[in-house]
Amino acid sequence: MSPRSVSKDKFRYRRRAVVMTFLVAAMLLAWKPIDIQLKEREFLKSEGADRHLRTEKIDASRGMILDRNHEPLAISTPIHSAWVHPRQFLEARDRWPELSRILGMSVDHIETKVVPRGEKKFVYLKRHLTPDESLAVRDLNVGGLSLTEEDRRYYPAAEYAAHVVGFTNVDGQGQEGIELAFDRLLRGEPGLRRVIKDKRRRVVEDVARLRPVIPGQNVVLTIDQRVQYVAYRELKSAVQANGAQAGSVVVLDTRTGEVMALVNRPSVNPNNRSDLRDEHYRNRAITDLFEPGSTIKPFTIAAALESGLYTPHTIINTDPGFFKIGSHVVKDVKNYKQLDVGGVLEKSSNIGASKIALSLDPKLLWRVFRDCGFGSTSEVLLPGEAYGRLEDYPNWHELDQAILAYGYGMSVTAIQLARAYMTIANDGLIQPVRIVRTAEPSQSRRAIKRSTAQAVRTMLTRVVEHGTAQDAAIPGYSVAGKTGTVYKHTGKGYSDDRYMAIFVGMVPAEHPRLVAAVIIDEPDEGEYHGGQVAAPIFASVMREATRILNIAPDYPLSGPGSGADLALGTRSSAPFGFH
Amino acid sequence: MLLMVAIVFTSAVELVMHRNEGRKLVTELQKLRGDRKHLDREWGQLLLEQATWGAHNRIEEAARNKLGMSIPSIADTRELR
Repeated sequence: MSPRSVSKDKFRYRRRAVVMTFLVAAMLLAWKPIDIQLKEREFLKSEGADRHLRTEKIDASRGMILDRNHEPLAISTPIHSAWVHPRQFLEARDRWPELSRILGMSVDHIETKVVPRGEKKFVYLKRHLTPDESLAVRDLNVGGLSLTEEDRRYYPAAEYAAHVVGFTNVDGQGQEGIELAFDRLLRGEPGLRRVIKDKRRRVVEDVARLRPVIPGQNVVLTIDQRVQYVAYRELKSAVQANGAQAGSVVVLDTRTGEVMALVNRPSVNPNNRSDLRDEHYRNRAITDLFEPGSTIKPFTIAAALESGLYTPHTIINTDPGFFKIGSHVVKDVKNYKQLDVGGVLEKSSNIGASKIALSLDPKLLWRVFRDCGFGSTSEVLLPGEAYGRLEDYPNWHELDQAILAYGYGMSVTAIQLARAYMTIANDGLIQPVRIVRTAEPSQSRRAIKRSTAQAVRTMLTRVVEHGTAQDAAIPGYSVAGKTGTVYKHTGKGYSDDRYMAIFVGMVPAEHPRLVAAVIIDEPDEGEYHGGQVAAPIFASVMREATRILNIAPDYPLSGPGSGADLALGTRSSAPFGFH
Repeated sequence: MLLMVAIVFTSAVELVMHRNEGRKLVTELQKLRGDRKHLDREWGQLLLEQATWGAHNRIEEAARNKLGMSIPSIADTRELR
């Protein structure tokens, strides 16, 4: 044998083994792509997608709140917040003093914020920086410290629209007022989409919209910012001048039931989160109940006229100036002797009102109060409205009926009282109070007869012309309204030196366009009567509101309300009949 | 056969080109969306600035004190009709 064949023989098995190995390897290699294509396809696809497919949130920015003329009352705008990655940030401790100077936080404060959360990856250091702070922080370039954008809410109308607009918390959720009531609508809903990103993290393909973004809607209020401002300015100075605890003014448009202005004192600047305290941001005009006192009398008179037993000229004997019901004594300021029904309003006689009420069917009196909106809500879409209190007539005793006639034993909020007067202004139709602009016409229903409402209105002009509310007069306009001075109910009965001064009125009296209620809580500078304290505020607010809203004067400008005889149900005999 | 190969080849190239074109457009759309967001924000800030400069108390204070303006009294008002 040749050495070659020997070697061939000698390595035969070895050669076969090598060939076999290669063959198996080749088969395995051939199998692998098939395996990948068939068996692991889904898994690998999803793995691949994970590396460039991203689900992204599309933020919905919060809608604006606007007044009726589309002036902004609340706007969101982005601002920076500083956050840290604690572990990295702790390494840069030497830079903390500089940072503390910029952010106005002590080094200790920074430490307490960061050290206990050392395990986390994201800790807010300070939210909502001022533009100067965020620039300085960016330039400082401290390790582990970054800025992120967040929306912050601004309220250009600051404290004078605070109670209506409300405010959001630091995370942009509505907490009070319209911000709370319409939170869902304002906020919208963030969308989700699936995108492909390239290695520079740019979106290169929109793969799918998983959820469409619903942008936050704007909410347009019925408030007129100009009237709101005037009302606030006048209320603020009056509350101050009278040393009062609090106060509210509500102005309604009689034709639509829309709130033109709603202000309270004390108030708060919602741009400054640190002084948000309940007694400041509580919307007293809708949350605080009080007894309406004499301001209820027009409704007692309305019930009297509805009964058919009385006309505006029916004489009521109030002599001798006090009147006993069991052990209770109803008193007047002085002995008015003989008063006609209009005179009972003009002098605000408690005796007259009680005597009239006692002669009426309780059910009728109750029905008139109830239909004029007492004992319910104003239906305004603001959170936290209190329910007015009015006992059902089967539970009334004689005394209840007598004191209800002049507004004790029941309670209302300022907005409910203003709404009730709107029925007198509106020839007897009651409608819901609205604060958000809508296209739908308002739903009104009849509460009292047209002739009753007109007669009461005529009597109410006498109150302003000759009666207790002469300070409510506005040059050039006829004004109708009623004062109220109410003893405050403290825990243990009525206080004899704490009052609420109230005035509710309408202008122009013949064809009212605006109704306003003014409430001053505990005036403490000597004067405390509704006619002395609240009526002048009504006049100063309305003087400007009529000018702002272009409401034409119905009396000559030369003198206030000289044409006193608005005849019952007929056109005014005022020298300048305007309509 | 040759024709088929040519067609397949061209369509493959077209596909890649269009894909690329599409991605470029998406990037641009993305950029424009960013711009819009930016402009929206700027608009919000301008509204805010306008509201701040035009705040009633500021205007009133300027009108009364700087410009010496006042609301005409009734004696100074005449009614035209």
